[in-house]
Amino acid sequence: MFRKPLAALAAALGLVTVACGGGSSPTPAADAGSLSIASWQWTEPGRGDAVWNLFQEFGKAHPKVELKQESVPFPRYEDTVFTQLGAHQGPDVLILDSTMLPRAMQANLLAPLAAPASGTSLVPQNEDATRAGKRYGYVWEGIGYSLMYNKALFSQAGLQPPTNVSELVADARKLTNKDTGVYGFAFRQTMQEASGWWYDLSNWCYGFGGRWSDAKGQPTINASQNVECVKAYKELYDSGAVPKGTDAATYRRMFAQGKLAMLIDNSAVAASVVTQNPNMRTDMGTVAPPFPAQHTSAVLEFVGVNRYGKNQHVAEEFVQFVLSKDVQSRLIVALGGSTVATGVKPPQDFIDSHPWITTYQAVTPKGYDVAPAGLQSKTAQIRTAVLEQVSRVLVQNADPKQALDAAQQQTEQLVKS
Amino acid sequence: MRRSSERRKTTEVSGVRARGAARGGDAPRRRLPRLPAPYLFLAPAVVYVLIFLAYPIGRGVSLSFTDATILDPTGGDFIGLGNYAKLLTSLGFWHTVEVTTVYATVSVVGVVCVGMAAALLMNWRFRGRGLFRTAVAVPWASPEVAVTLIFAWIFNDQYGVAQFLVHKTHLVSAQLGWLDSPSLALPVILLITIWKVFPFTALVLLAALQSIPADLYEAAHVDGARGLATFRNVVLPGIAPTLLVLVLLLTIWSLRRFTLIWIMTQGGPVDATNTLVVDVYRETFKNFELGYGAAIGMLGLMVSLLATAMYLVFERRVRRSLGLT
Repeated sequence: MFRKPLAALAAALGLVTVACGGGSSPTPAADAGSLSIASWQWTEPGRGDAVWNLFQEFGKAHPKVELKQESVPFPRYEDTVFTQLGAHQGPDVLILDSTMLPRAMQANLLAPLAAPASGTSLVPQNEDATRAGKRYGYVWEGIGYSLMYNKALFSQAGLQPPTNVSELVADARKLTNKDTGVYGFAFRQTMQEASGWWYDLSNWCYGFGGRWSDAKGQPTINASQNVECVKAYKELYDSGAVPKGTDAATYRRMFAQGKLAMLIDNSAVAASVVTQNPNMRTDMGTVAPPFPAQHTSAVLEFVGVNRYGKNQHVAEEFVQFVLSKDVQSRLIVALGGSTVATGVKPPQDFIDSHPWITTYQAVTPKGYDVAPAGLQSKTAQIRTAVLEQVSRVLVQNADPKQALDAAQQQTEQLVKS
Repeated sequence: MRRSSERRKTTEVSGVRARGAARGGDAPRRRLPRLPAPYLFLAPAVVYVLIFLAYPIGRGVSLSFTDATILDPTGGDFIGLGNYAKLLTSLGFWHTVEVTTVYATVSVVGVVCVGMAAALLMNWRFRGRGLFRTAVAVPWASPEVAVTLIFAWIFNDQYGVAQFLVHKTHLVSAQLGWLDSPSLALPVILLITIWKVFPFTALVLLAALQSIPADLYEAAHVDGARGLATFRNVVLPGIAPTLLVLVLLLTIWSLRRFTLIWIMTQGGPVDATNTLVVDVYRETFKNFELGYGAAIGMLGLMVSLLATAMYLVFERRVRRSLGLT
């Protein structure tokens, strides 16, 4: 008596399964719906709006697609976006830095991308976004670090930009005036900004000739150059010239307002500073960081597509749009002169109106990735181990050698596990 | 002559028998409800507990035995007690337990003391009492995130009001790193916690104080008790049950407090304010170690259950000593 109802149920279930298309490859969707793009740069003065305005060109070509910004501040970007991706949610298109990309690829969270249009040349760094013969991203921007200084403050004090670390510390002390609220130098120093602090510390340690790992992928955290770097970092931290506990957003604003004499930062910050205070176009100077070895860290960011995004087809079209010749030449201007995927150079009139670009163009090729070579997928844990020990040096006066020895030991255990 | 107790018993039995006979049966029988009405009323609560408590706890337990990461929450391999072994042999974990214990103990004691003082004040009659009661409620009513951000600026090393006051009053000549100093960060967090939470305690204790009969105060006064003696012999026994529940709630809340600590220090500097719940977040969402974070969470749950068990034991003893059982 139950056979007919069961047969009917089975047929219905079969129809439902076929309708859902279970297991078959996705068919291209129509160009409609929304396209969310995640980045921490949307709120950067000047750059965020410039890039968004450029993206409206894509919106005009795809009128049925609604572009949406997903803005997450940089200190929280990594854990926010990774939590979303891990839950198979999140934006359709996302910007990832070089510490995030390897893990996203390893966890199979990014969709493979098609090759760009024929005739498109790509900078070599694009190869970092390939794995097992497939490409999962393209370079969004590459930027180096330079020493940015306030010419007016230096002129008033009768000083020249420092050429070595001793001069840097001495100048920072001389330029600090607590009565007027001016500080000599600033860098990140708290775990709240671990992602950005890693870049700052890497600038110093690479500048001293150190690296976080060797060519074989073995950790070199406690190398002598890194120990010297941390000692110098500590010396500046204790000099009274650094606004302790101040986050990067605040001290960058201080620099724009003439309350900070020097900082080591990237060209994106230079562009933002000028947007906040147009006078800084002439008052801001840039020189190579005054480190013994002519190296710094380099910011390398990639654009990728969420494997589990709702609008993957449109997202992939968007990436091709970003790689197009016309967009690349406008993107480099919108980003403030950063290196882009195709290596196109900014126009000369842009360089003339943004004089700091020349310094950054000179230092960027000497920049190293902050993700330890051979250990990229463990960058977050290595970063935590190293920065926690450096924290102990800064606030508890721990010995730099012992602190980095402890970080080396933790990293070695991490590598083995 | 039958004893009165026996007569009462016979009468009661006779009465029951009479009622049974009226119904047509020999002995009374307890009837089960015909309709599942009570179960229907209980069902929403049971469903809520199952979905929002039992399932997440069960999932957390299962995750704690794996090496799952946040990037692949369902892809972790079973590693048995590996996470727990790593945890219990980690010096960092025991430091976290120490910080959690200090934070919970000091915050609960501080909140109770300040709350009690405020409640006693609010229980007095004085001009402006209504305004005072409103002012007391303000910290509790203020949005936690907004208030914490303001406190973060108050304790900013360079521009904070706290630094300004310390310099103006010449208490300390050097610049204090309130949130950068391992020795100052936890006291600052505790101060803000007590400020934020004491109003709730004050209001609850005020209600308890107002439930103490006035004649008890009069009797104590007649017996010559004043001030502290009245507090010890009349007030404290009167509010003891309420106070015990409050202590339990405050303890569990302090073990779970995350927002304030995360916004102020994120568990730093150098883990000086790293409580268990902050550690769960850091391991799970900063280091992406979902399984390990779940193991910390399970140990935190056990601590909360232990606190609850201790409360139940202590509460029973207090009730016995007060003659309430």
